[in-house]
Amino acid sequence: MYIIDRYAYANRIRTVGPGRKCGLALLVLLICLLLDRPAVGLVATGWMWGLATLWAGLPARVFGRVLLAEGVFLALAVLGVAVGLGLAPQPGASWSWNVGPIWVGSSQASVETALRLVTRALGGAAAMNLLALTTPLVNLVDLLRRLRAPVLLIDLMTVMYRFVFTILGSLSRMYTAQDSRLGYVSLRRGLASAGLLGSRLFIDAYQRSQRLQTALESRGYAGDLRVLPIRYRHDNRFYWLSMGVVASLLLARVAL
Amino acid sequence: MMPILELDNLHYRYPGHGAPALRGATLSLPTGARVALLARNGCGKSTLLPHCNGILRPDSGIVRFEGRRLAYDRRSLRELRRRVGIVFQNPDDQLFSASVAQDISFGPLNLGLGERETRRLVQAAAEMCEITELLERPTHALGGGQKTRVALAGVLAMDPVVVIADEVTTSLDPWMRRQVLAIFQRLVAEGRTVVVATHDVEIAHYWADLVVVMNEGRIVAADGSDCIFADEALMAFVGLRDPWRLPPVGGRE
Repeated sequence: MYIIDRYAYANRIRTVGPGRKCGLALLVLLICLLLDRPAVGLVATGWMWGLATLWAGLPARVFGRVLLAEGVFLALAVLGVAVGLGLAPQPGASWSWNVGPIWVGSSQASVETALRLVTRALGGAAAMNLLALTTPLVNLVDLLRRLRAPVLLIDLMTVMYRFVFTILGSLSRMYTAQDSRLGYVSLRRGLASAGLLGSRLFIDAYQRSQRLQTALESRGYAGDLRVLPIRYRHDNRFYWLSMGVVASLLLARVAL
Repeated sequence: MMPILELDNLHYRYPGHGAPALRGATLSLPTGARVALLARNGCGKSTLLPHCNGILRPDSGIVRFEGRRLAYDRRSLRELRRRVGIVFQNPDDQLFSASVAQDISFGPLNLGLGERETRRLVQAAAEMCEITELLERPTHALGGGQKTRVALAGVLAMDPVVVIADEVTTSLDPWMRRQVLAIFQRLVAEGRTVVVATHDVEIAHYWADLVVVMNEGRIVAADGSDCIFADEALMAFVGLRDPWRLPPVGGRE
């Protein structure tokens, strides 16, 4: 989370409007889902990786790593699609082994389905990664506000995002304090300490919320967290790039 | 000079607590004064301050702002909180937005001001607190001194005439403390009243022109720093010490 948050602030296209980035990401996701071809998914992944590194200035390794983590999940998920288990050999299987009474096998059709699923999902995931790694959450919340999402939802997101960091900070300080008094010297002590830490953290969060309430009321809080809309820069290149992405995806569908 | 804020014989007991936190606190703050509020921990200081902007309402006693008795209806409270700003001890309890600029804009927008006016106030407050380069930064990436100044800017953006700072200098290094005191100095130069609740005897001694000493829910003294620190019985009573009077070398206190 810290890594994503850090790059969301430290990239060259942070100040491009979140609406546009969201639009591009959703469009790519939609195209990947609708034009169900491995080539489309792969081209989309390539584009997103390229935009993230060459345009947004993220290290290629970072984008690759996030993608790899998702890829592993995907691969595990589609394993069941590619490989079939059964008490009898699968009909039409290109290979099958038996382990005791259980037959393991896969057919060309099932492997193709799995491949299509992986590339499709990977293309969509890459699009979402580009959005997440180049857009601070504050900008996304700002976008929701402009789209007139319910105020309660927006306020909750604002406060939660802010206090995730302070509560994580409390957590790590308390953990260090416990650890320095040998709170985690054994599994048994560790469990007891972790329990104490958890309950203390709840109380801490509750008291913090009380103090926040007081501080907000001092500044005239009247039931909703009113803040200024954020200003973004206009970048016409963004439209050209987006059109290029979409055109190449369509081309990939037709040509391959 | 007419006092800007008066607390008259305030009593307050937290619901569900046995001992009262305030037992007849009386204090008068002159307009444009530099006030240091000295108190040991648990003396009722953190109960006294929220009475100044109507967050807490005394069980008995009167709060007057600009000579008028405080009314606790919604409109009066809104007006009061615009004019009396409190900066709380821990900036992490006050900063609710992950965007510095958005956090500072909260107060002005609550006053019903428009976007253009709010942007101007945010910019002015940021310049006053020397944090213009932090406006685009995420709140959680700031250091302690930076957060303190952002919290201060969030209060100053509402253009208050009384600024109350609860121990904001306590966790700052001497350099940063000087920066914050310089901001307070500018506020006083503009005719605002600044109240600093602190344990820092030096701030009370060198900066304040009115030192208020609190003990056990009462104001036990309010005077110029020379008089306060000359009163050895008072100093001993509240457990504070004149920063000049060191114990003799090798001797006992």
